Amino acid sequence: MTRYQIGMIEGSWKNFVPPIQGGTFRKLSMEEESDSSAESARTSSESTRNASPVFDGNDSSLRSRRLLEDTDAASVTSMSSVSSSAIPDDLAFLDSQTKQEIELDLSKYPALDPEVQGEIIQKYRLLSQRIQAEGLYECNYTAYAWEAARWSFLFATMLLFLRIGWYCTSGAFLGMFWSQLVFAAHDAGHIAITHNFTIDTLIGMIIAAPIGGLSLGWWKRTHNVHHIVTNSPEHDPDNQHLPVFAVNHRFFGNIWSTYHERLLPYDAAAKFLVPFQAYMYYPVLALGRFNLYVQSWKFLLQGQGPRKGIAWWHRYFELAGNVVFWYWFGYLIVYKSIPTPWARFGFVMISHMINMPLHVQLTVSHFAMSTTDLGPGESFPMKMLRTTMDVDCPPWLDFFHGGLQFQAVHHLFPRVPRHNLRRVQKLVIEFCREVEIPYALYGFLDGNREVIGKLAEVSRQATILSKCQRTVAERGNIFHGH
Amino acid sequence: MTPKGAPQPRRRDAILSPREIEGLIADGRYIFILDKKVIKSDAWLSYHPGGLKAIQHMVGRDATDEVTAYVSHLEAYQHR
Repeated sequence: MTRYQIGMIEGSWKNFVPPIQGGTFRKLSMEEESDSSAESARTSSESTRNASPVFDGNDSSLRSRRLLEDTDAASVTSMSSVSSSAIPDDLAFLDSQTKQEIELDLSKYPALDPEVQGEIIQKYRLLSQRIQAEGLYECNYTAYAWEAARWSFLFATMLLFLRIGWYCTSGAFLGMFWSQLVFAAHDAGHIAITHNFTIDTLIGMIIAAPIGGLSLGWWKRTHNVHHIVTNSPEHDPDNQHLPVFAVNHRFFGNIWSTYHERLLPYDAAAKFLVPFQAYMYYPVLALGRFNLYVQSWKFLLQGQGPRKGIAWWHRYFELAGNVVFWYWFGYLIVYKSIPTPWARFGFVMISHMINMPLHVQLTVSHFAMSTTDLGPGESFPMKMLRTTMDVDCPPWLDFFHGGLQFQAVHHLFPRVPRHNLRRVQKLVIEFCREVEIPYALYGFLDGNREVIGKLAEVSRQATILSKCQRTVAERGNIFHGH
Repeated sequence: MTPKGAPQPRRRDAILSPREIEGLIADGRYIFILDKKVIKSDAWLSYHPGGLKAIQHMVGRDATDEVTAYVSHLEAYQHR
């Protein structure tokens, strides 16, 4: 990495809002270039960085950026003012909701000033060193031997029931086999097994493509961004589920996804579905696996993954793997081993829908947590702990949650192997107490209740807003009509 | 190695002011901070196995904690 180093900084660094998040950067003027002494540079006003998190850290800064692209002279501040009379009622409603949420976060979490955040960062780095020193990065391979035994048992049982003609039961075991393997693919995707990029990625791709019919590359592309801008409606693909779910009221405002590089329209389908989203949560997640096929194929066929560097060949490996998958699953099992169309249907549906608890596990840690952006001054550890919660469970149930129950711990230390997370959790709780960041921990059922409650709340807000549909459409034209 | 876009070669340990870095980013450079080092990642973007978006969200920011958490330092140095 040092070969890309072009200089050093002095003192502590104050973050800019990145261009992709709507930050504006001033070019160096001629005079500044000829006289680029640090002194003159410092005295100049700092446009992007002095952003007030209450107004500029949320989606209004992004909206104003869209506008700025067309009219350079437009003022950012006038656009982000909540009380501006030029803004239609529904926008004022959305912005006041956003403001309330931000204020709630600011009251619950440590202050954003550099000293406080700097201390959190310092303590986080000490914690990181301690985890390293205590050997918690070392993978417990015996635990993986048990995992492998579990996978083999589930697959063998699937074959057994297939042989005796219990097709639905057989499908259930295949689904459980996939669910268990996904946890290992997640570990591998984080290079959290052997810590060797190529070996771990290979393990993950073998699980994803030939065994699961999906793409690890697709998952990694979304997941990397998810870990950096966790729970941000504009940036985190794992937060964007329109038209089926609106995790936050901001999705009512036709927001721009920087991940998908398109507008997420709050369209007729969304308006119809979102009011029922609390009831649709489990049924939709039960069908989640079908969506994953579509996303994976899109990723592989369009070549959205890396084309150069050490990962250039992954695309071809996964394409071949998917051919293998449809041969053994589609041809050998579903077509050749199951006699009737109805039995085939039952087998496919049950094997896919039994992954529902897995999909709940994947979403439960974030859906009920904050989706607000507190601006560039927030430290990495605080952001992770503010947007992520852990699920409490007895140690013997760890296999069922597959390490994903320690989601907040995992977000702080993504490379720590799964079977060490319970031990790291103790250290994280200590850290949270020290820096006074609340550590969110719910039982699995309570976590589900939180998510359903949040979805229902957003539904209610949708109902309040639905009377303003006409103005919403108008605003869409104003901001995105080019 | 002379960074693209810089008029004259500069030393790697030269101190850059925030204003200069802002100017480079305004010119479209992908710059982030790693352990007080100013990293211009433009030439490396297409080789990053973790994709472009992850880096875009770090432009103009101190990425030390994110990079350390996500890839080990050893690996961050190897992937190029």
